[in-house]
Order: sequence, then structure tokens, then C-alpha cells
Amino acid sequence: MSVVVEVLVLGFLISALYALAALGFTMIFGVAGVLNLAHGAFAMVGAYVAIGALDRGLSLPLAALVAVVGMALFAPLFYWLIVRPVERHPILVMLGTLLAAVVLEQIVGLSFSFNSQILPPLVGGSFSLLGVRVTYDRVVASAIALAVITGLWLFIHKTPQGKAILALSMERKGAALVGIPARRVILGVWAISGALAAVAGLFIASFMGISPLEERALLVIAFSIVVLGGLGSIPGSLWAAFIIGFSETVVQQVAPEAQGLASLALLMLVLTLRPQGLLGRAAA
Amino acid sequence: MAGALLEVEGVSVHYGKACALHDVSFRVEEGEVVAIIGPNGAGKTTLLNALSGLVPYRGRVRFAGRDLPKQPHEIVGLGLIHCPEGRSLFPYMSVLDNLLLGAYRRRDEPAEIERDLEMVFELFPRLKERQRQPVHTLSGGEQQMVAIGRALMARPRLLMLDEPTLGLAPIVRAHISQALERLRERTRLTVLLAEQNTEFAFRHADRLYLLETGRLVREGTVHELKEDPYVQKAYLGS
Ligand SMILES: Nc1ncnc2c1ncn2[C@@H]1O[C@H](COP(=O)(O)OP(=O)(O)OP(=O)(O)O)[C@@H](O)[C@H]1O
Ligand SMILES: [Mg+2]
Repeated sequence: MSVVVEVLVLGFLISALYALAALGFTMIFGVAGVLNLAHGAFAMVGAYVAIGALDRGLSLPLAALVAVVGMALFAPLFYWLIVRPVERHPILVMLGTLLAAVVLEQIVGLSFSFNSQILPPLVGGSFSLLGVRVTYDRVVASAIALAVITGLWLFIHKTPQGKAILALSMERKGAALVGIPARRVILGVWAISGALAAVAGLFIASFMGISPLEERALLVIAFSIVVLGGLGSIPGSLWAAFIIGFSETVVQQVAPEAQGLASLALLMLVLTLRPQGLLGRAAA
Repeated sequence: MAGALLEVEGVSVHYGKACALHDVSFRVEEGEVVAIIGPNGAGKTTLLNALSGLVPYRGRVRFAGRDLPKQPHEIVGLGLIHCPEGRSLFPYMSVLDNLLLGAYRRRDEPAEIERDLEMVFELFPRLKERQRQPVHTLSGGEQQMVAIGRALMARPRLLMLDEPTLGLAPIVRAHISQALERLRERTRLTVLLAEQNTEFAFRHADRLYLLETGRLVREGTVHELKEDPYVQKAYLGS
């Protein structure tokens, strides 16, 4: 019984964090056709911005805010300087963003250290649920992650700006012909993507710790989720995040030595049956 | 001639080295329906794409007395609206969302947009029934209605229609034909129609231009073109 509760609580948290990490990545691909291989680095840099802000004496919530806003500004700038000049050449985009990620790793590693660091919990204390200790921090983190995901969903489906993002991801020419300014919308999506990556990075740094090179693992997770769900599909990424999050949690409980293999096996299975991923290219 | 709603002067379009439009000049007056007719590959779609900012061109275009801007969203903002070949709808969105996105750049009262939506539904009652349905599940004819409806939702000053009845069954074609007529009776809409189907073009146009391999080779009223021996021989099968 307690194993089930443990898996449910932990699995939900991990899945929600994975979803946060993957959503920005898939949105950028859906809207601009860009595979941003620096997405993991965005999450990592976001976490270190918060760590740096804490070192300078800011409170944790304020440091988190600085990190999220900072990445929401950094990501569009990154697009403008690094991606836009080579946008038409997917290979150069991949090389450029990958290189940029390595540069960011080095910058962060040299300014902080290459060792793992951990962010303090947002709230202290814990309670017992059917014999399992659950920290309030995890509950709060899950709630925040869920709120962010819901907010994103409402923004995309209920506001004109959100619908413009969807429209652009489905049909570029149609979007131009109804007067959607592609460039501006794409900058906005980079900002959202940066902010989401920062939120994911903060939570991951708080629960598992983070090091500069950790960004590669984050990118691999985001990439697997997005491929599993279908490149560019937001609901696909949500499904995939929960599938991978929960299966990893289960594997960790019952066969810790097989960790990481579960998602790989799932990925291979889905891609064999459905090469376009769970939800294909339908961004809605 | 000054004062035409759309004035096109010496417009050329190149795809790489290939010249798709060569020194094309024409005008569309307020309230007119002007058709550009011509065979496959003549450059009709290229012309409309140039005017809506999708394809770069050389030459001069004035719309409503000003030089036409270059960016599609600026052009849409001026009311030059393009209902394209292939429709370019948003396939996984509902009919309603597609229509409402047509009004994306409008900044007038929501009530005005609502009124235009009712007008589109009145014109195409089928769309009202299917407003919640994703567009990719509609038939070709219904999709064409959405495409025209979406363009109308922008409240066009000039509506550019690219082969609106291409590939549709006769009954759907007749329906769209009627809708176009009712629309004109009601709103004095100005239309630039690109058409390969001469019957459809002759039925709706006030004036026509004949485009062949990127050049305008004839201009005239329906009557003038029908009487033209060259047009008769090449296009009217007599
Ligand atoms: N994107 C493109 N790249 C290169 N050539 C193109 C492109 N689009 C059109 N062309 C060429 O330009 C010429 C004009 O094409 P266009 O589509 O404008 O003709 P059209 O009159 O609309 O024909 P149709 O009646 O078949 O739609 C054709 O020779 C076509 O092959
Ligand atoms: Mg054409």
C-alpha cells in the first residue's frame, strides 16, 4: 500500500516537472520548427540565476521570480542572436544551440562550480499519508506545477494571443493571411519557453539538485517526452510527461538498477508503432 | 488613373531565375469585381501572393491611396484580404475558431465582429451547424466556405479570391456562386478574383484581365472579352 502511495505522490511530482521541462521545447518546435538543443541549458541557467540571487541575499520566492523573469527575457534574446540568423538551416540551428548550451555550461561552471548544488525547500514540514511521509514542499511544488500547466493551457486555448500561437503552429501561411505577426508571436513563445524552463529548473534543483552538466540530462528528458508525445504537440507532451514520469518512478521503486531504461523502452515501442508520436503534429 | 482602390504598376516576380510575372499593371476600382483569368501556371496565384506579401516582387502597388506595406500582417490591417488557393485553414481548430481568427487584426467592438459572424452564418448556414467541428473533418466544399467566411470576418475592403470553386461539385459551386452574388448585393464588396474557370469569372466579373505566362495580354469587360476572337479561340472553345 505505502509503495503505491509513494509512487503516486512522487510520480505526479516528477511528471509535472517533466511536463514543465518539455512544454517550452515542444512549443518552440511547433511554432517555429526549431529544435532548441539549449533548452536544458535554459532550465539549468534558470536554477543558477536563483542560486546566485540567493547568494546575494534575496529571499527564495524573490530569487525564483528573478530566475523566471530573467529567462523569459534571456530566451527571446538567445533566439534573436543565435537562432534567427541560421533559422532556415535546421542543421546549423542544432549545431548552434548545442554549442551555445556547452558555452552556458562552462560559463555557469566557472562562475559557480561544476559540483551539484541544491536549492532550499520553499516550505518546511511534512505529514503522513497512509504511512508515507510527504513533505509540504512536494505538495506545494506539485500545486505550482499544475497551476502553471493549467494557466498555459488556458492561455493557449482561451486568449487571442494563445490562439495565434496555435494557428501559427498549424498553418504558417494561413496565420500570415489573417494578420498574425509571426516574428512577434515567435518571440513571445521563446519568452514563455524560457520561463517554463526556469520553473522546471528551479524545481529540479530543489528536489534533485543541479550541476552545470545536468542540463544534458534535462535536454534528453525533454527530447524523449516531446518525441514520444509527437513533436510540436502540447497535449502529446503532457501525456508523454506523465507516462515517462510515472514509469520511471515505478521502475525506481521496483528495479532501481533499470532506471532510465523504462523511458527508452517506451520510446522505442511508441516510435515503432507510431513514428509520429502519440499525438502526431496536431498542436491542439 | 488616380483614385482606384488598388493600383498595380509594373509588378514582376521571379522565383530564382524563372520569371513568373512580367511587368504586370492593372487596377481595381472601389465596388468592382475584377477577374484575372488564365490557364494553369499563368501566374494568377503568384500575383495574389505578391499582393498579400507572401512573395517578394518588384514594381509599385498602391492600395487605398498609399504604397502597399511589405509585411502580410500590415497588409491585412489595411483590409486587403486574401482567400488563398489551398485555403490554408487551421485544420485542428473548430470552424468557429477559424472564423474568429479571421478577425484577428480588427480592433472594433466585439459586437461588430459578432454581427459579421452572423452574416457569415447566414451566408453559409452549414457552418453554423458545424461551428464546433474541427475543420479538417469537413468536406472540401465546407472548407471552402470556412475559407471565404474567414476572409469576410476581416471585413475586407478588397477581397482576393483564388479559384474559390476549384475541385468542387457543381452543387457546391452553385452555392458559393450564389453566396458571392448575395454578398455583393448587400455590401458593395470589391473583389479581385483569380480564376481558370472562365464561366465562373464571366458570371461574376465586371472587368477581366487575361494573364498568360506571366503577362497580361487582354483587358476588357465581359462583353469585350467574349467578343475577342483570340479569347474565343483559346478559351471559349469556338
Ligand atoms: N514557389 C515557387 N517556386 C518556383 N516556381 C513557382 C513557385 N510557385 C509558382 N511557381 C511557378 O510560377 C508559375 C506561375 O504559377 P502560379 O501558381 O502563379 O500559376 P496559376 O496561374 O495560379 O496556376 P493554376 O491555375 O494552376 O493555379 C508556374 O510556372 C509555377 O511553376
Ligand atoms: Mg493558382
